Amino acid sequence: MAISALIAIPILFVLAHLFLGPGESWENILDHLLPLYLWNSLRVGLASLTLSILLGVTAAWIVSTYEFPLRKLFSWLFIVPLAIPVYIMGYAYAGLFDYSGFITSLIGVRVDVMNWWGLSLILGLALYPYVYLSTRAMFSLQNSRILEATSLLTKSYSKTFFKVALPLAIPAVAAGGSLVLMEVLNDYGAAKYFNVKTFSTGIFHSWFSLEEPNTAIFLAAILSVLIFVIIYCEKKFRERKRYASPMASSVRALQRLKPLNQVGLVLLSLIILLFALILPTGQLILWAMRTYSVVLDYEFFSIAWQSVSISLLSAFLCVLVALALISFTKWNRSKWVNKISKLTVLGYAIPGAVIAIGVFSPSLELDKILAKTWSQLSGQAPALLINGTILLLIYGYIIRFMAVAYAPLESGFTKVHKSLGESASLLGSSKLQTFYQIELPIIKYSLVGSALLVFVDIMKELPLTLILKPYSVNTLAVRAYEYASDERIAECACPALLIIAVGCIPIIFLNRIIK
Amino acid sequence: MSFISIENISKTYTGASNRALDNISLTIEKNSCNAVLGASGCGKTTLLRIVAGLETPDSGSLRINDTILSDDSVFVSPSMRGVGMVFQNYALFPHMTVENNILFGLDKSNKTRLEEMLELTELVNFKKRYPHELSGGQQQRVALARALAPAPEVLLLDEPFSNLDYHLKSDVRSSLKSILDKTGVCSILVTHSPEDALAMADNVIVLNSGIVLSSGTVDELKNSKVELLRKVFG
Repeated sequence: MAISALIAIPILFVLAHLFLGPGESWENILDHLLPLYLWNSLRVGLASLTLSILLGVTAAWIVSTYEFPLRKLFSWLFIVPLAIPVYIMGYAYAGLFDYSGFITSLIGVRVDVMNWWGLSLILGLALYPYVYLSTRAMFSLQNSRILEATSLLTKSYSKTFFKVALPLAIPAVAAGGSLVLMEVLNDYGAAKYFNVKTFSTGIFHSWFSLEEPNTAIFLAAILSVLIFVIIYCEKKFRERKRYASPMASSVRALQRLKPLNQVGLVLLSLIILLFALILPTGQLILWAMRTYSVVLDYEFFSIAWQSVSISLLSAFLCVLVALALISFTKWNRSKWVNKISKLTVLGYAIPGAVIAIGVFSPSLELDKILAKTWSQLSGQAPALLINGTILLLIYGYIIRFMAVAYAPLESGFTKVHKSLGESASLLGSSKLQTFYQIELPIIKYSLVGSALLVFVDIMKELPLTLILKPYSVNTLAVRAYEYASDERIAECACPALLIIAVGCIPIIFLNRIIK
Repeated sequence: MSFISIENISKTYTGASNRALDNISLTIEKNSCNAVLGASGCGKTTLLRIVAGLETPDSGSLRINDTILSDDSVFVSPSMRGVGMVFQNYALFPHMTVENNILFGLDKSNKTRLEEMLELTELVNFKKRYPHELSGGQQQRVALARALAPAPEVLLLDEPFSNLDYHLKSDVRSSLKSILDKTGVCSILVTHSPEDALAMADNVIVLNSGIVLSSGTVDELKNSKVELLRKVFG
C-alpha cells in the first residue's frame, strides 16, 4: 500500500492541478501557445503514427508470413531501432539533411527537415518497432486454419491481407500504436531540436523560461488527461470481441515464394532498415570518427560511469519494487489490492516531464517542512534534504518505468502455477523460502529481462533527467542533448553510440531467450 | 473413369519417424459421399489436406476430373483446385458477419448465390450475426455455406461432428446429410467415429497407420465391421 501510494502521489498531484488552476501567464499561453501545442502534438502524433503503422505492419507481415533469404536476421534487426533514442535519431537525420549532409550530397538539393513533418518522419522511423513487435506476435499466433481457409477461397494475397489478416491484427496494431503516441507525447529532445512547439516543450518553456511552475503543472495535467483518453480508447478498442479469433492457434507455416518475389522482400526489408537503422547509425559513426579524440576524455568516462551506475541502481530498485507489488498482489487476493497495484504501472504512459514535475513539486514542499523541523531541532541553518539529491531522480525513474519492470515479471509469474506454492507450503516451506527455491528459478529470465529493459530505458531517458538530476550529476543522454543544444552536434555521436550499444544488449538477450 | 484418383501418395512430416501416409491409392466416384475412417494419427487429415493442396505429398499423384493437381512436376495452388473445405474448428473469420463470411469466396455482386446458400443452410435469419453469436451447429452451417458458395467440385469435411455436443450430433448429422444430398457435390469427410461414417457416407475408406485397410460401400463395411474395427481401434 505504501509503495503504491508513493508511486501514485506524483501522478495524482499533477492531476489535482486541473482544479487548482494555472499561473499568471496562462492567458497568454491560452491565446497564443496552447492552440499551437495542441495542433503540433496532434499532427506530429498522427503523421508519426501513420508512418510507424505502415512500417511496423509491413515488416511484421513479411517476416511472419513469407520464407525468404535472411528472414531470421531481418526479423530481429527490425527491432534494433528501438535502441536508438528518438532525439538521437533526430540529431542524425538533421546531419544527414544538412547542407553538407550525406542525403543532400546524394540528391543534390537540400530538403529542410527541421519542421513538423521532419520530426514526424524521425519519430515514425524510431518508434515503428513498437507496432512491429505487437503485430508480429499477433500475425504469428493467428489461427493458421483461418488463413488456410482463405487460401482455398481466394488466390489474392492483398485480399488475404486486407480482409482477413490485418483486421484480425487490429487490436495488436492499436496496442503498438498507442505506445507510439505516448512516446511521441513524451518526446522533448527531438521536438526541441526541430523547434516544433509541442506539449512537452511547452511544459519546459513554462517551467524554465517563464518560471511558472503552476502553469507547467497545469499543462502537464492537460497532457495527462489526453494520455488517459488514448489509454481508454485503446482499451475499448481491444474489448471489441468480434476482432478476436475464438479458436486456439496452431503453428503457421511460412509461405514459399518465387525467387523474384523473395528478392523483392529482401529489398523491401533493406529499404526499411536503411532509413531506420543504417543511415542514422552510419551518420553517428562518421561523426564519432571525427570527434572521438576531443570527446573521449576523463569527463566522458566519468559521465558514462555515472549513467551506468545510476541506471543499474534504479533498474535494480525498480525490479525490486515490482516484485514486491506482484508478490503482495498474489498473497492478498482482494480485488482492490489488485487494482491499486495496476494503478502504479500508469507511470509509463505519462511523459517524463510530467512525472518529473509531479515528483519535484510535492517533494519540495516536504523538504521545506523537513528543513524547518531539522533547523528547529539542531539549531543549524535550514537546508534541503531531498531536493538536489540523486534520491529524487531515482524515485522519478521508478515511477516512470515501473510498468516496464512489472509487465514481464507479471507474465513470468503466470508460469508459476498456484499448486507449486501450495505443495511447497504443505511440505513446510515458508512464503520466502518458496519464493527463493521455487518461484525465483522459474522467473529468472523474466527478472533479468525486465531489469535489462528498465536499465536501457533509463540510459536513454532525457526529459525527466533534465528536470530532476542534481547539478553535480550528468548522464550520457543529457550530455548528448547538451552537445546538440550547443550546436556541437557531431560531438554528440560518442555518447549517442554508447547509449545505442547498451540498448542492443536486451534486444540480443531477449532474442536469445525467445529462441 | 473415377472422379478423384489418388495414386501412390506418400507423406512424411519433417522430424517424424513414421510415414503419415504410406503409398496410398484410392478412387472416388462423382456425386458420392465418402468417409475416411480411422483412429487419431492414422493420416486421415493429412490425406484431406493433400487433396485440398494445403500439404504437398512427397510422392504420388492426385487427379480430379481428369486434371492433374499434384505429381512430381505439377502443383496446383489450393485456390485453383475447385475444392471447398470445412475445417474441424470451422475457421470462420471472426470479424465478419455470416453473409460476409459466405461472400468472401464470391464476387461481391453475386448476391443470388449468397441468398441460395443462406436458404440451403437455413441461415437467412442469422446473416447479420457474427460467428461468436451463433451456436456450434449454426457455425458449422456457415462454414459449410462458405465452402459451398464458390460451387466446388469436391467438398472436404474435417471431423465435422467433433466440436458438437452429443445431443446435438444426430440433428446436425441429418441436416448436413440433407444439404449434401441437395447439392450432390462429391464429398470426402474424415472421422474417427464409425457411427458418423455409416450414417453419412455411401463409401467408407478405412485408414490405419497411413495405409488403406479397407475400401468399399457402407454395406460392405457393415459385413466386416467387427473384425475391421478391432484392427483400427485396437
